[in-house]
Amino acid sequence: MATREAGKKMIMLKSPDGMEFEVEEAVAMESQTIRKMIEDDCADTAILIPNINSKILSRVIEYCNKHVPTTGATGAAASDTVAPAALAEDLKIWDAEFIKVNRATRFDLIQAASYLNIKGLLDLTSQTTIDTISDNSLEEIRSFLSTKNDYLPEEEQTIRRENQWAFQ
Amino acid sequence: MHDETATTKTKTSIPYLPDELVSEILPRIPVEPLLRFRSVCKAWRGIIDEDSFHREHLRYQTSSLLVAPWIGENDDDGPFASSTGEVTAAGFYQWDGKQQDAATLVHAMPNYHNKMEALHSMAHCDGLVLLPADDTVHVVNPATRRTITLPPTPNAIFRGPHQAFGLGHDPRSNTYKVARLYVHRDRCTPGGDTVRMGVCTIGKGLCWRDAAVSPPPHHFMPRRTATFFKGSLLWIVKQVVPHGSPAAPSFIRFRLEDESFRIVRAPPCTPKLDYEASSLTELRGELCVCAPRAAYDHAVFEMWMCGDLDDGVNPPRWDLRRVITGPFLFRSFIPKIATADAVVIHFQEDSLYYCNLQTPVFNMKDVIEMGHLRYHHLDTDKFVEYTRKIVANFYVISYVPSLVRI
Repeated sequence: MATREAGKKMIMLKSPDGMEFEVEEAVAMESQTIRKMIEDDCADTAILIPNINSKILSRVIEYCNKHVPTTGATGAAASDTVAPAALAEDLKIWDAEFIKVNRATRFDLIQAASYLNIKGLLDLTSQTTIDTISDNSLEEIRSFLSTKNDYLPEEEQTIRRENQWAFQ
Repeated sequence: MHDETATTKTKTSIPYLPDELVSEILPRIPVEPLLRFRSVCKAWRGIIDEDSFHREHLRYQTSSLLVAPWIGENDDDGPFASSTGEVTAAGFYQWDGKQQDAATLVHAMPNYHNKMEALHSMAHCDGLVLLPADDTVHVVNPATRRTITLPPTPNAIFRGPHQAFGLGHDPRSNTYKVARLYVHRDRCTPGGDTVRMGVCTIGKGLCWRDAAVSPPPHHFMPRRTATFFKGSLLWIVKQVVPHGSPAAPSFIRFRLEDESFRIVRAPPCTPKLDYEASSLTELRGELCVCAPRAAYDHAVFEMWMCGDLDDGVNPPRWDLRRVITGPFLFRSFIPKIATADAVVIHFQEDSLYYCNLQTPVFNMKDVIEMGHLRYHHLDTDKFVEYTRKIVANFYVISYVPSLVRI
């Protein structure tokens, strides 16, 4: 484990494609999964993050860096000068920019947020997906899924009629 | 890595949502699209119809206000004078408070009429709305547009004002129960009135049965629907009763999982809590009593909070959280919904007040008169204006849309 700045513990994260990312412990601990590993002392050397490639992992770290609460000597001073509401507004704008990615990347980010258990990122990525799919037709939804429509036409009609109003 | 196949970025394949993500996404989707998505495939319908999914889904939904105006007959003689005294339900309007002048009709209730004085106050639990009246009780899920009418209550001759209802979730049996606190008159014994508890479990074979244990012999406030809080229903004990000594300020608590009773001590308001003018609500996981400071002075309201009810060992710890001072008298003051920095309070029947908790001084600009609201009628796609003249009353409750089946 490396220590770069005084008082700031660093953690090494490794993606399965061999890239290594050195991040502050506080940033890494935005992930509840990593937090647990650190707390259970399973993080002596680099932590291998399975299933998440370096491109996605770097985006996740970017997110955590932005969202880590500003604590400590310098951090506290900085947050004192900015009103919490303004800070939240700034984060919102940043999030909106951050999530402007293609669907494949977004799905990868959801998967990463889910595995790493980062609530804010999961909320952000899934909300964007919900906003898209809530207005989609069933055919479009099915195209997102690995499964096909397995209803007989008359079965589908029956189920549809149970909540016909929702289709109008 | 094998899992990358899901999103391999070849030019031709469309990235699809892997199965494990479906469980992340689905509970966050609003009710209406979910009802459509039952038609996507059998697997999705299986997930969406499961009780455990309904509970998971509830965790992701945010509270809003549900407004139910009652329309009187439009008569030029009076504010809402009506020859028959009948009022008609205008449906449930969901109002997120952001759009100040418009609420969305989520569920219309055509042909629902009743006498104004027969209506009890509404209650909410997990997306279900209890709509009690002296002679009929409805349970509505406005989000799925399902309504059930409960069977007529027994003891018909004594129904009138001598009863109060409640709706809550029993975690042990994972069912929703409607409870009815009522006065039973034994005609053979003079003066043999006893308080009883009727229970109707929502599900197959709806019927009223009496709870095995009788409630404590306290008088309760009739037509005041119970507040559901942490597995229990709470009714207000009526303090002043004819031919009896006044009761201590307290609530009748009915725990749904074992159908047991307990009397819960009310907050130590000074000089004394005026129950007629006070409210009891669940606010962000705490129980809140909002009461005028004095019976003669309805301009100062106290908000008392308590995190846990009497557990048999420790009485509830009430904490005076806020004092709200108004420039005029409030007739009633009922907190409905709380955010991190504000509480929305329903008062004087048709006004809402956004009480900023940082500066809890009454400010007229934070008052919204519901009589001036316009409603967006989904079916006609038109805005409808209600005026004081035709709106007889408003019920406002905190509400979370849900898939819970009735």
